[in-house]
Amino acid sequence: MKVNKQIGNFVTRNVRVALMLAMLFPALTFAQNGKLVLSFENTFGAEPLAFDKEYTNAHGENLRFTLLNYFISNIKLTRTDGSVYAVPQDSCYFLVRHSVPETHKIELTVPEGKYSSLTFLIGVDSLRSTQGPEKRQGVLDVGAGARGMYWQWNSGYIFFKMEGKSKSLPDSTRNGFYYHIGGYGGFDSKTLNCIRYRTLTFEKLKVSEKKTAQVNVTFDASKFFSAQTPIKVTEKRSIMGGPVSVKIADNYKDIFSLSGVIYSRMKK
Amino acid sequence: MRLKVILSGSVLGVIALMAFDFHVFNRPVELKLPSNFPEPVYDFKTNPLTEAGIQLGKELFYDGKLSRTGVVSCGFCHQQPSAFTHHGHEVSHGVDDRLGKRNSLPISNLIWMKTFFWDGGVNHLDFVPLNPMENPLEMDETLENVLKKLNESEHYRAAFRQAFGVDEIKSTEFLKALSQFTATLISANSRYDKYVRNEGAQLTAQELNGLALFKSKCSSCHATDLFTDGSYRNNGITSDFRFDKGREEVTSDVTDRGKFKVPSLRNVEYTDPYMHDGRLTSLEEVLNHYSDGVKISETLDPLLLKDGRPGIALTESEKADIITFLKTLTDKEFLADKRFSEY
Ligand code: HEC
Ligand code: HEC
Repeated sequence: MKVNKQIGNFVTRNVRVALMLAMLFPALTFAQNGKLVLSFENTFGAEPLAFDKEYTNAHGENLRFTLLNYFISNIKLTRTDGSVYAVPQDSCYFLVRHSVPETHKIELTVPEGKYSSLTFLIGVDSLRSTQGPEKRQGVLDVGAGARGMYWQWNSGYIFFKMEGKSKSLPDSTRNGFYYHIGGYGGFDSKTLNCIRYRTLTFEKLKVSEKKTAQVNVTFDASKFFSAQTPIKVTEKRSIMGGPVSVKIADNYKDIFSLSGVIYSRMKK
Repeated sequence: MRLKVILSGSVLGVIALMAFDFHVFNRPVELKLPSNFPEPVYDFKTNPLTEAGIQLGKELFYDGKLSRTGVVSCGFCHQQPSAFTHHGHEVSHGVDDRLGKRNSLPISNLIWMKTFFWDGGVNHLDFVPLNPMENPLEMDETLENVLKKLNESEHYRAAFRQAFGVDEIKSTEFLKALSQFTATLISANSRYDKYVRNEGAQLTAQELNGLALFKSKCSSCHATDLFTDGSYRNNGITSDFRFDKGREEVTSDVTDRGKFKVPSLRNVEYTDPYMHDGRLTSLEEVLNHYSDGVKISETLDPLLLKDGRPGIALTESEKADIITFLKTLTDKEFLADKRFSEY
């Protein structure tokens, strides 16, 4: 009773403020948001990629993967009218770790509308790579979230990291393959640049408040070895920086492909 | 009447302040920047200096916890009496006496640097500590594990709470704390500085002659009162880069092969051995290098190859004059400043 009265008083006292807010509100919330999930599916050919399975690449080499991680950032969606929605900069960094299934799905809140394409960066942009630790939180935290995905010696993130073992290599128990690709292009002078954006086009993607839209993106690891610049583990089993990494970045960029859009009703 | 109110108010205020636990109060610190230096590069807005922050950074700098073995601290390789370099070691040695590949660089005036290390691999002062900490030849630790150790320490938890107001120590606070201390390592009170700032110091005729020679022969690379232009160059110390490619290791650009950071020459009297591999042990050897020892390679700096002849023309007496000038860059206050000392 007493509480009610207090609330009542509070409301009367603030009635003018409340009215003003109410007038502003419709304008502010006019654009409704919907949920969009980007689901990254790593495969080898047609099968889902599994760390406990052995595969054969296009060169006939035996492969078993032990690690596959990549950063996805700077996500932009282009509407059918050509206008662009960019995911806010401070919340646009994601790290897909194959060993951690929860990281395969990136959940975004996006304005309702019809979209025709999706663009993302595989890696971390140069601006963020030169900012202080206060700007490197979550998956960019060099002492936590980004563990194993950062090169101390050139203050850059490893954009893409793939490791495994191959029986085609001599002494395959010790001799694995290691592909660590990074390089944001340099600070005050030019350095290695492996920044690559991938754009995927849809026939139509509808984001609405009522349904969750999920965009499935496939990364087919078998193509990694047989793209523009073919990679044989028996010839090049370790790439960590160096000029060739630029070509590998071109390789993997094109491997990310759209495999479908599915909708599901929002759980209320 | 009003005066009385103000007076009794301020008396009350003073009493309140006295009752206040001063340990909770963390006073901001404003660095005194030397008037003969350019604008700093480091952005203090992202890391405002405070007394507690600087003190904490200093403690971390001298704590072996930052290494796997618990004994190798930053201060182990960066010793104040030798201008924070690893005195007596051509290349630094770290945990289990493992030898590194390069001579340790002196630490001072870091807030004016855009890039760090002999090859310029690190682009932000806050990220410098990761490099030695996670290098297997130096401290051989991981930041993750150091954070774990620090979070287990009541003492550090309290110190971080006081300096940054956090209950859990994370990368950001840890890295910023170290920068709070290293940012304060400013060397700008040598006799030379007091001379150029007209603070009453005089240079001798020989020193002045050395300064004039330095300006004409050395300052295109060792530029400004920071004595470096911050660039990466090949000064002909070697023409064999198989062991260490220098800047190329970071840029993957062959035109950067054998280029190394132009080091500052502040306190150079005390930073021997010299050069990235510590191959020269005295300033006489350095000057002899520039006059007669410059080795030709594809990336040798053009300034050191005039008319097809490598090196800088210098007579013996000119070398002696330059050396006397270089010694005016010794900053005794810096080398002995208690604020920077371990004990
Ligand atoms: C094992 C010895 C060792 C330890 C321990 C060590 N350093 Fe160093 N430090 C070096 C060496 C060697 C270099 C030069 C290496 C290079 O450039 O490749 C260096 C370079 C630096 C530089 C670069 C200066 C410049 O002009 O670019 C800074 C700053 C620095 N260290 C700070 C630290 C801090 C902070 C710590 C503690 C977290 C630390 N160091 C621990 C050996 C060490
Ligand atoms: C072309 C640019 C250039 C010129 C000109 C030049 N230097 Fe240097 N200096 C360098 C570079 C680069 C290094 C580091 C080289 C290395 O370690 O591989 C260096 C290193 C030094 C060092 C060693 C410092 C240390 O802490 O290891 C001293 C001392 C020095 N120079 C003095 C001089 C003097 C004196 C002159 C003039 C006679 C001079 N330099 C002219 C580029 C230059």
